[in-house]
Amino acid sequence: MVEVSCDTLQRASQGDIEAFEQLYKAASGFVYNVAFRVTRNSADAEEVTQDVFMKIYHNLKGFQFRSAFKTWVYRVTMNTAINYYRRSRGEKHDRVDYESVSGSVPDASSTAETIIQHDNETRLAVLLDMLSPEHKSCVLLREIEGLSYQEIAATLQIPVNTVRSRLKRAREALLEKAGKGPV
Amino acid sequence: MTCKKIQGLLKSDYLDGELSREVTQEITEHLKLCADCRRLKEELEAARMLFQKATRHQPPERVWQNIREAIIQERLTEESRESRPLRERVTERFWLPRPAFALASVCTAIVLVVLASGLIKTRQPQGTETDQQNMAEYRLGDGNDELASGLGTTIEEYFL
Repeated sequence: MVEVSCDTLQRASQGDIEAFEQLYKAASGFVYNVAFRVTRNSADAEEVTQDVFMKIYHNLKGFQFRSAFKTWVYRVTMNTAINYYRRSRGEKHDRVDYESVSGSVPDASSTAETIIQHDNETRLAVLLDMLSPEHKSCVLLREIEGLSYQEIAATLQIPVNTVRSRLKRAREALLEKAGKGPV
Repeated sequence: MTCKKIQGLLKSDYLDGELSREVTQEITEHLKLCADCRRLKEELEAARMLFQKATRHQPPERVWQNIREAIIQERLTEESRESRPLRERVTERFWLPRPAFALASVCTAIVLVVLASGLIKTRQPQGTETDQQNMAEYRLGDGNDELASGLGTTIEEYFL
């Protein structure tokens, strides 16, 4: 997530919509990417992103410092995405994300790079899908968003040791699924 | 450090750069000598590559447009609410819909009837009242009665 200046935060909290747009541009990439990885489809990821930013808009006045703001955005995003996924899982149990299946399937004109990328995405989706929401959260924040243990702990409001053990277990599970198994 | 401990650290702190320089160096030296731990490290790094090559998904432009429209709509609604006369805002706040008002009226009427019937019942016939007075006097005359020891009410003590 790109850093946001205190001035931008201040103006956005006072209702300046252009400042809020700057804030959106700084944070939307992170929010949407995490939402997409958790919900597994773009339509839900869009709804989650809109939901997150409306929450930010309604509650911005209480945040003045960059570090607190970043952690808060992470937290709202994870909670909103996970809640949305859990709620929709019951409604759309066997729903297939046609976009991921049909839209990005390589065809005869695809380059080798596209094919490799598609294969990578498919493998990643399969691996992430087998993790529990708690483990998936830690892995996403660490591996894709590059947050430190402290930042993950602050975002998920869990101890650092819990972050450590969840990452360890998630990686053991991923290795086992990938056919490596425990050493 | 044992292989078990090192492998635990490989799956967490070592891979994530959360260890001190000394411990990292110790593990690095161990990896030069231990094929099992070295293989685990390579497998973990290969798995990590999947994440590093992951596509970063960006939201479409319509997401911001929807958010912007929602914010503008909220502001318009708020402004139109505040621009109405005070009397209208107060009326809206305290106005009850017809069915609710009718229900409130019926409940009030029932409560009034119950209270009124309760008041009627408390008016005793003359004979009954005299008997109760006699009972009270009998009680007041009982030496063991707690009223005789001054624990009665002010009114009863007045009549002693």
